[in-house]
Order: sequence, then structure tokens, then C-alpha cells
Amino acid sequence: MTASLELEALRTGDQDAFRELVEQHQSVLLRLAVTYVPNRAVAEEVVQETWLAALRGLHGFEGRASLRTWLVRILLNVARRRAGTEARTVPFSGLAPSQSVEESAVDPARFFRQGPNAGHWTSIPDDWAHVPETRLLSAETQQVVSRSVDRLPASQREVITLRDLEGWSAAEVTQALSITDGNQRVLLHRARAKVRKALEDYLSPPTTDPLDGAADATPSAN
Amino acid sequence: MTCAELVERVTDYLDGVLPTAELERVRRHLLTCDGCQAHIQQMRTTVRILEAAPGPRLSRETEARILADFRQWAQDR
Repeated sequence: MTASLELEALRTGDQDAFRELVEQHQSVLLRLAVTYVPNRAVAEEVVQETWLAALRGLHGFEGRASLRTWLVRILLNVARRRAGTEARTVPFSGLAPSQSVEESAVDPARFFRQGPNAGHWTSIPDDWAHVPETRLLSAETQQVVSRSVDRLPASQREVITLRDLEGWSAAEVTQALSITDGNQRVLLHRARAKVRKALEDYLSPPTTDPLDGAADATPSAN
Repeated sequence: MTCAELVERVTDYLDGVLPTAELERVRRHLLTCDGCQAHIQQMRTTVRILEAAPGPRLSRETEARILADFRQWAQDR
């Protein structure tokens, strides 16, 4: 549905059309809400509050941005305000606005530091084409990924949520989050790098010395 | 271009926003580097797994509350 049709449905008080919108946008709104508030119940309240604020502000929405961009902006305001009042459980590190500039996508120890091969891989990354598709898309792998997303700083988590979990374009993400394109790319890069690392630890754990015992090489299931 | 430099350009490479000269250097590097090819493949797989994650859904109770808010709003206008 185009933004103008969506708006038309809202303005005429069509409840079925409204319910459809609520369902259509529930995933992105919930995912962003849990970035800021301590639990799912509060996140649901934040989504409810977002819709109420959207309805009340509908007359001011001109349809220049997409409806979902506008909703996300409202949600972030509500969620961040809510996070302020629930500060006891919000991870402060998660709210840090920016990250160190030197953060590398891959552990620098993976590359030769000097010699003729300086800057090249000391050992070649694992080829995941050999990992069965059923394992890649298993609930357990999903859990590894979702836990690593949960641990990201909020700024990175917002971007990877919109770009990769929700499949938004870079342009729409910069608009929804009011950040520059360059900033969006850096945040996405760092976020993906951490998720990739978490997957690597799970799918291709470093080969342990045989003397350490093979049990250590088995990823834990929980 | 070294591997350590290439891995910092992967996101821009996958998004197709590398400047032409950079893109050329990345491509030339990839022609002969199995390690970076595998790394890029890992990044693609990472994105694919993220995209496959099922989206959360609102509880029935919350959805009902939102719809009640809507009815109230429509009535008050």
C-alpha cells in the first residue's frame, strides 16, 4: 500500500485497514523498542504508545517520508523517553552514541603483522558453503545471531535491525534515524562484523590443541 | 590492497557503493585471494541469516488495546 492509501484508510477510521497497518509494522517497531526498554511487556506498551501518538499527530504528517519512517521516528522518541524513566535496567554501554574509531571488522591478530605477507590472513577463513543449510537456518543459529545483535550498542543495533533484519534501504534508514549515509555505513559495518564473529565462533570454532581435549571445540547448545 | 584493508570495505562492496577505483582494487585482490573470498562469503551468509530471522509479533492483548485506542480516536475526532 502506498503512503497516501495508508493515510486515507487511517483518516476515514477504517479499522480493518488500521489493523493491517499495525500487523505490517509490528516487527520493526517491537525490534527497535526492545533496544531501549528492559523487557517485552514494556516494549509492547511502547508500540501502543507509538500508535496513539501517530494517530494524534496524523494531521501533521504530510506523507513526504514513508509512513514506516515516520512511525519509527515516533517510536524512537517514545522508547528513548521510556528508557530514561526505566534507567535501572537499561545497559548504559548500549546507549553510548559513538564507538572508537579504530574498531576493526576482524581481529587484527588474524593478519600477519610484518614480513612479506603483512596485512594478509595468517589462516584462511572457513568456507561456510560446507555448512548444511539446515544448520545455517536452524533455531540454534538464529539464537546465536539474535544474542549477538542484543549485545550491540544501540546505534549499531538500530541500523542492523532496519537494514538486515527488516530489509530497509540505506536511504530509508538514514532518514528514519536522522544520520548521515557515511555514519549509517560505518554502524552497519561494525554491527555485521560482530555478528559474523559470533557466527564464526559458533560455526567454525578455533581448532583446539589436541592436548586440551576435543570437548572444548564443541559449541555449547544453550 | 591487503586483506586487512579489504575487510574494512566489505559492507560498502556488498552495498555497491565503493568508488570505481576502490572497487577495481577490491576486485583485483579477490581474483587471487581465497581468504578474502571466504570472508566475503561469510558476510553474505551472515546477512542471509539475519534476513531469515522471524519477526516478533504483538500479543493479542496489546493488539486489542491498540485497536481500542483507534476506535476511541476515530470517535473523538
